[in-house]
Amino acid sequence: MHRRAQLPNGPGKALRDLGRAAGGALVFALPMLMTTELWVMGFYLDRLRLFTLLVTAFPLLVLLSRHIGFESTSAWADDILDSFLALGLSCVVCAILLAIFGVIDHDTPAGEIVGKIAIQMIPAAIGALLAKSAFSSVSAEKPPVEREETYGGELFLMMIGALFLGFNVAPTEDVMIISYQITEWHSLLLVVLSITIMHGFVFAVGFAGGSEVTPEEPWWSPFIRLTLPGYVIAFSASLYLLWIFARTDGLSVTGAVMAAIVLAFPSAIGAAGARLIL
Amino acid sequence: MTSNASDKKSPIEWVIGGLSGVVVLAIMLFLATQAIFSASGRPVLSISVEQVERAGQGSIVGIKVVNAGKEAASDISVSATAAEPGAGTKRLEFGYLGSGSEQRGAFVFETPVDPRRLKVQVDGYLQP
Repeated sequence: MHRRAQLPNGPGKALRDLGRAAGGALVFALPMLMTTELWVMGFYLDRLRLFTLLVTAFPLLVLLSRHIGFESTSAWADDILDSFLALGLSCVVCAILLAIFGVIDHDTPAGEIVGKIAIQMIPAAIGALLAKSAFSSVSAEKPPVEREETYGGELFLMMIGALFLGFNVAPTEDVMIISYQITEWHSLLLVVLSITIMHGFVFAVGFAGGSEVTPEEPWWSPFIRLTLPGYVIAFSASLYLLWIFARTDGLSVTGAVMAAIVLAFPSAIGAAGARLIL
Repeated sequence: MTSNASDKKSPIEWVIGGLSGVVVLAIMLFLATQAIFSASGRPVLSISVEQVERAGQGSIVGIKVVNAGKEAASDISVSATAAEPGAGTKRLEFGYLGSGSEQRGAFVFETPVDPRRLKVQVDGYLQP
């Protein structure tokens, strides 16, 4: 695992890092903060699922901090601390915006406030941790740090990309409506289309490090090594998100698979395009 | 796992890629099988009373609506009529119900109702 150089610390830098993280949380979570379905889910969603979301998201945040993070880290303890910091900051950002939007106020029961903030915190925390990556091009304070890329790292970033775009779409009613409107043949075509677009991204964007796509490489090599695992990651992330948001409840196996395929379309693009923004 | 940009790829990349290929093929085969062997047709909706609970002066009638058909239904309207004087008819609407799916809901009556004299039915639906 790559170790990044430690930069001189100080109150000014800490404030800039926090400000950047808050900006990232805002940019990434705003579409969800302004989505009615997520406000509603905040009070009716099974608390066990919300707890599962938080518990499963935390290791992802730690790994994300290790890969990117809003400050240079050299130890796992720093990554854990940064993940808590990202969650805390996201909690504050979400609470402020939900209060400004009138979604929560002093009359809202505490349990409902917790639910509404908790469901928004994860995408916001991902945004906070990605802030360094997203805004680093406009920051002149330090040169971009070269990181050692690994195959596992590429798949992990694909998962983050899939989760991020999937998180934006999964809570909406539209995924379910589309899955009800289409037939199994449409779903089959959607799988092919998702994989084709993903592969286009893999070739267009190129993947760094050990998984680099070279011009000499036959098309099927990155297709097997990157595109297919990427689609499975996007499909799994979609199924996970649909379960978290109670969208699979009462569905038949075919219905759940078709809904996951519909959601896997944006998730697959998020997975393949992750390299563009991360 | 490779750590530099060499042409030689790590075996783990091929193993993960191969397993992913199997998963994708399984998903596609499953969908193709469903598409070929599942006959198309209208939604087949049924409603059943799951439980009747006393709630204050009235009753809450828990129901389950199942779509056993091969097509999804939307705007599903269901009703419950109680025989007790003054209880009347209560109506509910479900947004969507996919093929093979089920959804639960409840009718709220202001008076106690006898489940044996309660009539529940699906009044209508749209095909999305």
